[in-house]
Amino acid sequence: MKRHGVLAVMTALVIISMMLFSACAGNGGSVPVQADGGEKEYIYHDFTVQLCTCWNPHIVKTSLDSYPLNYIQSSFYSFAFNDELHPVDGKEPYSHYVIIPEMAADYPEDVTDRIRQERPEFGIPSDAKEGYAFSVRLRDDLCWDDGTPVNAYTFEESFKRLLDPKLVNYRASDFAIGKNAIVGAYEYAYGETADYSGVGLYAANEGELIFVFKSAHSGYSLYSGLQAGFLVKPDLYDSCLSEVKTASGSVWTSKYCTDVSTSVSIGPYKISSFQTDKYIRFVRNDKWFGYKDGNHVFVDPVDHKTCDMYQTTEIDCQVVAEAATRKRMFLAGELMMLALSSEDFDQYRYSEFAHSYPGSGSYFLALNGYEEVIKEREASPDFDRSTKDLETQLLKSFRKALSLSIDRELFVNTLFPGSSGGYGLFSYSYICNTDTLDRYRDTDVAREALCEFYSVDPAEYPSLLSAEESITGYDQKAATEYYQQAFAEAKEKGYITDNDNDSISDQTVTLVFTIDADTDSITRLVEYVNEILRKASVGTGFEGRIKVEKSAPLGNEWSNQFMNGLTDICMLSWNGTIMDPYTVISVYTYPEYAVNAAWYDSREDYMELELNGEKIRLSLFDWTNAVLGEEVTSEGKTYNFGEGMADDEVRIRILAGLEEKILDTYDYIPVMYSNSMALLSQQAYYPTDIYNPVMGFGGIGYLRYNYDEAEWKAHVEELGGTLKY
Amino acid sequence: MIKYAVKRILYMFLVLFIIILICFVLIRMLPLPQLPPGDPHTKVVMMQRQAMGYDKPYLVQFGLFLKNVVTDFNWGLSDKLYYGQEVWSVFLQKLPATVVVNLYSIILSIPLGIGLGIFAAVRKNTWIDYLISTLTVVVISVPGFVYAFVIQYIFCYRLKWFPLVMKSGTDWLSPEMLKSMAPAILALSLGVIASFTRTTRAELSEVLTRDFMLLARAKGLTPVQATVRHALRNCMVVIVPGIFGEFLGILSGSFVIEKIFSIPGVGSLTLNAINGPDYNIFMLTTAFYTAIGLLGGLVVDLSYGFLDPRIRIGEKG
Repeated sequence: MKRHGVLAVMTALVIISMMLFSACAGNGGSVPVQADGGEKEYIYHDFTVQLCTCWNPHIVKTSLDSYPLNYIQSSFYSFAFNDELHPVDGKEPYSHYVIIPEMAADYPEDVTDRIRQERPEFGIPSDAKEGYAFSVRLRDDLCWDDGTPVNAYTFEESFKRLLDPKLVNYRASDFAIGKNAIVGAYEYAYGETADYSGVGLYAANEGELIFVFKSAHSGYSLYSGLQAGFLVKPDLYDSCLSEVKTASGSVWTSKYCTDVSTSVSIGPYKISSFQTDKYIRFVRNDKWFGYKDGNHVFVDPVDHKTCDMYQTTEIDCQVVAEAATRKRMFLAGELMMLALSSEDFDQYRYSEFAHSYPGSGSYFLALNGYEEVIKEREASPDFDRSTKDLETQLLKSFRKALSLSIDRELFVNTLFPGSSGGYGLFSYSYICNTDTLDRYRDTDVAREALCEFYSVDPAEYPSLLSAEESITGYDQKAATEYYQQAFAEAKEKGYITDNDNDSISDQTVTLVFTIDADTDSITRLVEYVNEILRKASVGTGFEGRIKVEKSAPLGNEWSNQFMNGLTDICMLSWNGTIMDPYTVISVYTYPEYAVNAAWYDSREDYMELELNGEKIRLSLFDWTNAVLGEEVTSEGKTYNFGEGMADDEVRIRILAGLEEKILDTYDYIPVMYSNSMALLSQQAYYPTDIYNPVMGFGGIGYLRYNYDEAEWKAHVEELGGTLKY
Repeated sequence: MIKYAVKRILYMFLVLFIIILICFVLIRMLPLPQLPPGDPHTKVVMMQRQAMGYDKPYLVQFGLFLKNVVTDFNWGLSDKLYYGQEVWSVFLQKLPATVVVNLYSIILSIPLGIGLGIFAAVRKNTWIDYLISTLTVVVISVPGFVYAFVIQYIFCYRLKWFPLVMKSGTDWLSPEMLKSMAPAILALSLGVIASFTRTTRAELSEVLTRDFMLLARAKGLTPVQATVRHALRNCMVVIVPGIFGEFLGILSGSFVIEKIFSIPGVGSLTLNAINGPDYNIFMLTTAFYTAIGLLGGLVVDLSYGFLDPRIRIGEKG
């Protein structure tokens, strides 16, 4: 018997493992490539670093989880390129966009006046004639992928479930709070009333849905407010709910949209298979109205042929966590896109398959201005005041010198190739006029604001544009002057000493750089900042006396540490909706958002602007409220510069004024506008190479294929299995 | 022996309990993930946390946690990575991939490792022995994820013998799945093979010089017969317990390998739970690895008595 001991152990292991497989094999299963009746297959091979786990539209928190919703949901209205079928006056094809009804049968109708009279409980302002209530008429052929019809009552039932207080749905806030808040949604969602009849989203009849907003909407903001993302299939949704015991009693949880059987589609694709943390696969949803409504077609600008949107027949998204593996898969023709890393940038940036994606993110080096905490840190017994100093960073002259020490283009080329130097609060992506797609950064007032901030005199240049283009952020001469000024001020205030009279500070200004994790890229960044500060301070009182050192890795706490003044520099970025820079400005002026709220109060910082011949003086906080559509009062007068309430020109002036004032705090030193670049597989192409701020390159709807799946595999094999880009 | 085994099992549960208690309390003492200031969802998230019992004293939370586990085998809900899903069912979905890769790796490693060890021991102090010993030291010295990248580059990308990542699906025992897992199995196995080679060589070299081996040859046994029947059986006292140890070692080693080859296993689940953070998943995977470790130790200890009757466990003097 003992002779067979080892064999017996191994056999037992195999048997146990086989039992485990049979017990654990879950949903999904192996899915062979489909052969759909001899038709050509066009498979979009996508990847993700981490796979979605729950795409319940009432719960999703991250873009990872909302990934399937891009394919299985539809909206009331969608965007399309302005091509020959959707022309826009004065615009070249593919340079603009049009809004087309999708689940809606036509454009929304403003019914504010009627609803105000019929439903006074909604509290629509008595003088409001428009902007608050809208009727959306639905198509009559809406249905789920299993054929179940969808009508206005389905939307109402979905919305009830979204707001159901017992479910505590994460996304309920989207409709209860903020710009797109629906009347009564907050009260219902947070249990202040159990009566849904006070909620301003309801079915007027099978084909008509009414939205009643808390604030007035028009133009682009209206279309962004008429969201359909809350739609769920009520019977399936209810069957997925369960009550689970917890330490405090019980919570309601839901399995809706966690696998194939609990998902349902009303979009162009439906989920065909899913394996937790491995892959998700979509196939065409033949029940989708868009395949036959005549709206989802476009004219290819190259051959002028009319094409159906969504040529892709299947989307296969796999988890590929390692960047090196992704690159190899892409070069082997196994992925459709490859985002370029800084290492790949030089090799592929000029490839004909490279696409540049301007980002909305503006990156700053944020500086600590929390004087009380800085003084406390200096008073700590561990802090050697004879050799180190923290207080000098509070001086504006020192901050200006820091800012002028950085050549932004050199900075990004060295550390973040592909991005561009950042000079203002807003990158070049932000649109200030949604009708014309004019970029805020291209307006004269925005250019003047930057010239003013960087002390560039436009009169010395042939044009405002060339004056703005001359800005690099770097000025050695001015930096030296500011360092010397800071040296004198710091000495006078007792922050530093010069006991040996060598005109160099006895103390090293030591700035703690906030890091969440200690990575190579952070180390490179900190070393680079040290290097440029060392060079720029040569010949000044701070020569060799400025040092930036990394904090301990702070994880999720990093922002709190900085906001509480416990660290001194951090690199941060705000991203916003590129069509709405006005909302983005609030992240700098609303205390609940601003990282410098502990030492800066926008309610106490005033700006005077002359608008339409009238001088108006308001705090930055009130200017922000006014430009976001709230009524503010100053010297007995009421102002509202919201969308539709004031001319775009006036609103842009306010925005530029706010930008300049915020930059002038020197709490934020802009360094970079983030961009990204990706290679698109040779298997496919987009109809345009020019990035459109609204449409991008067209996404999967406009993607066209050079090869179907079989042809592509043969082509890759013919080339030896490795492609060149 | 039985008394000893029962005592060890009881100790095992005690240690498991203590480790779980420590982990639970330490985890609950960690600050909960911060929400961005002014996040409009703050109210909802705070309500959810209250419902999950995060505001209760730690020991009360632990008591309820333990009660749910013992009475319902309810490990709670995932509150981040698999929001609202029961962590046990998530764990079960991930277990097969880890077990199958590790099992294939063990099946490959043991015969190869023992075989190479025997070969080196029998050819002791020849160039073959030197080569095997040198390679063994090199392989043991290099972390597994380094081989993983090298194997992926050479066999998957350049030679195209295998796919770059594991294939999709749950047909764990299919030939296609085995082929797609091969690079990961190889990456996991190299270190284990080297480890078994080294152990076997060392043990066998010593046994081969014993007097009873001379007697075996004098009886007329061939060198192969003497080695297999007498020398190798004596080595098993050291080698067989090592198999359990290596199985555990592979389980922990597969954390990184799973990520590189896109294997949806427990290793990547644990890593994601730590990074998430998702405390309930982390508790379950911690309990899993702790239980496996304790069980492995128990089996190793008990196996000595079965493998060599001369060893009497639990007897004094």
